[in-house]
Amino acid sequence: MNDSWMRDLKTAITRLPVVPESPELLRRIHARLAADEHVILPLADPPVPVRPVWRIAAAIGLLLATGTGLWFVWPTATLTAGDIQGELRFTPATPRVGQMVEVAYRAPTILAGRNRLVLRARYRTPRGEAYQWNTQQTIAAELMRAPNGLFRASLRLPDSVVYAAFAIEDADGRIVDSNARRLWELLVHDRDGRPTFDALKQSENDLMGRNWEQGYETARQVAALYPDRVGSWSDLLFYEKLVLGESHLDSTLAAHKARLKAFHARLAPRASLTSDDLGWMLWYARSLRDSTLEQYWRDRLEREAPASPLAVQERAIAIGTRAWNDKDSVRALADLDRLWEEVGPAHGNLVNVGWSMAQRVGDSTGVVRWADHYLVMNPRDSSWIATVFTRYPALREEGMLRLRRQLQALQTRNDSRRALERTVDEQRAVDAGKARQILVALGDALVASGRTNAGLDTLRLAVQEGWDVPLFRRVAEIEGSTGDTAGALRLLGLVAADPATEGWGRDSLRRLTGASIDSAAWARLVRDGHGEMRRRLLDMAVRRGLPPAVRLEAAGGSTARLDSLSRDRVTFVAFWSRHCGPSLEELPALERLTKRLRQQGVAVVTITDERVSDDLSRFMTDQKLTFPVYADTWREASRGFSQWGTPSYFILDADGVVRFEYRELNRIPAEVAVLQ
Amino acid sequence: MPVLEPSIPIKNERSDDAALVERLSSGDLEALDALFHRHATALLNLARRVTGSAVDAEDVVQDLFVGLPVAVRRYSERGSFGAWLRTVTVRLALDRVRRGTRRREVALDHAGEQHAASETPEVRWDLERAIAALPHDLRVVFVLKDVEGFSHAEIGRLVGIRTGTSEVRLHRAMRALRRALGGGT
Repeated sequence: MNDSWMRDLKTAITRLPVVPESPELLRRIHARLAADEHVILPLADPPVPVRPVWRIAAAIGLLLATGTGLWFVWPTATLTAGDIQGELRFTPATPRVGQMVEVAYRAPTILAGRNRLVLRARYRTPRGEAYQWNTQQTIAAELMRAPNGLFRASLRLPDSVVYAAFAIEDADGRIVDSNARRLWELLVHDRDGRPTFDALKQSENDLMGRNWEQGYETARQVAALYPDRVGSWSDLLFYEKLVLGESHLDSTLAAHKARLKAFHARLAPRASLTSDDLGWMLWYARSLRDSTLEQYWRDRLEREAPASPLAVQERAIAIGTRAWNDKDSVRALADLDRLWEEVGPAHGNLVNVGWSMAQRVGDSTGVVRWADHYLVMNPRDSSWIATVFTRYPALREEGMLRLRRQLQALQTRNDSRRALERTVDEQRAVDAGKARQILVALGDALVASGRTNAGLDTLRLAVQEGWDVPLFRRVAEIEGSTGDTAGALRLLGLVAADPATEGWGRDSLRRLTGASIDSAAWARLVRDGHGEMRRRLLDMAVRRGLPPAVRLEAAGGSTARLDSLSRDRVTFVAFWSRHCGPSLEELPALERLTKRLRQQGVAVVTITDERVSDDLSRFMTDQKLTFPVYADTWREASRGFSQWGTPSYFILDADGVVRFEYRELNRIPAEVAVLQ
Repeated sequence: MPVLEPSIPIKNERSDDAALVERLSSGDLEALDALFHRHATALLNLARRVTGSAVDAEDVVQDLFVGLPVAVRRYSERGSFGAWLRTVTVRLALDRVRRGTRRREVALDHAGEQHAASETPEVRWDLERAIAALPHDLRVVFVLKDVEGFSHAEIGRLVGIRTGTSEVRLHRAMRALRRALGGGT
C-alpha cells in the first residue's frame, strides 16, 4: 500500500459521515428508565482464549503439518555443563521406529547427588498438532545413577511416535534441567540415517510458540532434505513470512513462484494424490496469491479428499462466509452440524466457525453442542467456554457448574499437563493463577444471577492470592457497597501499596477511607499492603539463570556485556522493534517507565532487532526516546532469554537472575519494588 | 462507613464529565441527559460501525444509557470517562453481534445519506461502503483501530483476541479496502 493511498484513506476516515444523536433516542432511554428497566453493562473484557498470537493462521499453514525435526542441531549431545545444566546423550542418536535407545545423562551439580532422576517426554505422532497446547507429557524413563556418576536408562519409543522432546528432573519435580529451555529432542530416522519427514514436521510443530527461530531453521532443513515435497516449500514460505517478514520475500518470491509452477506441472497430471499434497498445493498457491492455481487445487482437494483437514476447513469457512452474506445463521448452523456428523473433529476452524455460528443463532442447545465439539479439539479452553456460558442467562448455571468442576480439577496434581520446562512449584503457581481467573468468572456469574453475597464470597477467594490491582479495586467497591468496610479497606491498602497507583490513587484512597480510620491506621494498612505485595509477587516470581556473558552491540559498534550493564543492580530488560506495531504503541509508555526506573537506580537495557545505526538514532530522537538501546547482533540475548516476539520485558534481580517475565508494562513498577 | 467513591483525578476538560458522573451516581438523571448530549453522537457512530447496523447502534446506545445510572457507581477508571464510555459501548456492540440479537441489517452506506450534503469527496462514500462490506471480524478491528483510535492491545482485550490477531485482521482489512477502493499497491 503506497503512502498516497494511505493518506487518502486517513483523509477519508476523517470525513466519514456522522449520524447525530436524536431527542427521540433520549426519550426512549427515559421511557425505559421510567419503566424501571435495568441493564447490566459489560464492565469487563471477555477473556482472551488461550492461544498464541497467530495460532489459527499457523494452524491453517501447518494444518497439514505432520511433523518436523531438528536435523541441523541433531545430535545435540554436547552441552554446557554447569550448575543447572547437564549433558544428555541418546545411543543411537538416529533411532529407527520402535528402536531401543540407551540414555546417558551427566548431571549438573544441583542434581548430581540424587540416586534417581526422571526423564520426562512429550511424544508426537505424525498427526500431532502445532504448538503444545493440547499435547501431554509423560514419564519416559527413570534414570539410575551408575558407579561412574552417569545416570542411565533404556527407553523404547512407542511405534506411533516420530518425535520426542525431553527434560530431566529430580524425583519431586522441583528441579528441572530443560537444556536451557531448548529441551532435548529425538527424531525417528529412516534406513538411510535421515530424519523422517514426519519427524521433522513434528519438531517444527513442537518448536512453535517456544522457539520460532529454530522452527524456521528447521523448515529450511526440511526443504534441503526433502526438496521434492511441496509441503517443505509451503511451510518454508510460511516461516519466511513470519520470521523474516514480508520485505524479505522480495528476494525469494520469484523462486517460490517458479517452484509452484513446477510442482503444478508435475502434480496436476496425476490422477491420484495424497490429501496432504493436495492441501499443500492449495496452501502454496494461496500463499503466493496465485488465484488460478488456488482455485484449481481447492477444487481438486474438495473433490478428491473432502474429509481431509484442509478441505473441511474450506467447507466450514464457505458456510460461514455464506451466512455472513445471506444472514441465514440457522441454515448455516444446520449445515455445520451436518459437516460435523460427516467428518467429526477434522479441523480447528470447523469448531471455530460452528461455535461462533451457534452463538450467533443464540439457541442454547446449539451453543452447548458446539461448545462440546469445540472442546474436543481445544480442551484447554474449557474455562473460557464455561465463562462464556455464564454470560447466557439460560446457560449460566451450566457455566458455573463447569467452572466449579475445573476448579476441582486444578486442585489435583496432574503432571501430564505440566510443560517439560516447568517445575511442580511453577505449575502450582500457574494453576493458582487459572483458579483465580475461574473464581472471578464464578463470582461475577453469581453476582449477575442475583446471589450477591455468594458472588462476593467467591471474589474474596479470588483476591486472597495473586496481584491484580483492578480486581482488588472492584471487589473493594462491592464490599464497600455491601457494608464490609474492613474488607474494603484491606483491599484498598493493597491497591495503595502498588507503585503504579502513585500519583493518582493513594491520595484519593486515603481521602476516601479517612472517614472511618485515622491516618496512622491507614498508614498501617498501606504498610501491610506493601508486605503483602512483596509476598504475593515473589510467590509468582521465577528463577532462571542466564548465560554468563551475553554480548550486545552498543552504538558505534562497540561490544557491551549484559552483566556489565547490570552491575549488580536490579535490571529491566526490554526487547522491542520499531517494525512491530505493539512495540511502537508501547514506546511512549516504555520511555516514561524507564525514566522512572533509572531514577530509582534500576539498570535499564533495551534491545532491538536491528543494528544500532544513524537511522535508528534519528528514530529515537524523533520519538523523544532517551533510554539506552543495544542491538542483539549475535542473537545471544534472544537465545539467553528464550525470547521471541516483541515487545517482551524481563526483570533481573541483583544477581542477574530472571525473576519476572511479562508483557505488561504496568506490572513492572511493583515487581521492581519487591526486588529492591 | 466511608463512601467508596471513584478516585479519579478531576481536572481540565474532564472536570465536566467528572461532575456529571458524580451527580449521576447520586441519582440525578439530568446529569444523564447532559452526558447523553456530550457523548451520544460519537457513541452512536462507533456502535453503528461496529455492529454494521444503525438500528442496532441505537439499541446499543439505549442500553448503555439505561444501564449507566447503576454502572457509573462502579466507574473508577483512571482514564477519561469518555474513553470508558467508548469501551463499554464497544463491549455492548460486540456482545450484540456475538449473541445474534441484532434486529435487522441496515447497510452503512445508507445510514449517513441524509448528511451527505455537508460531506466531501467521493472517496468517502467508497470508504463507507467498503467498510460496510468488510467481514465482521475485519471491520471491527479496522473501525476500532483506524477510525476510533484504539490500540491493538485494547482491541485484543475488547474483542477477546490476541494483539497479534488484531494486527493480522487490520492488515487483511487494509488489503480488502485497497481492493474495494482501488489505488495503491
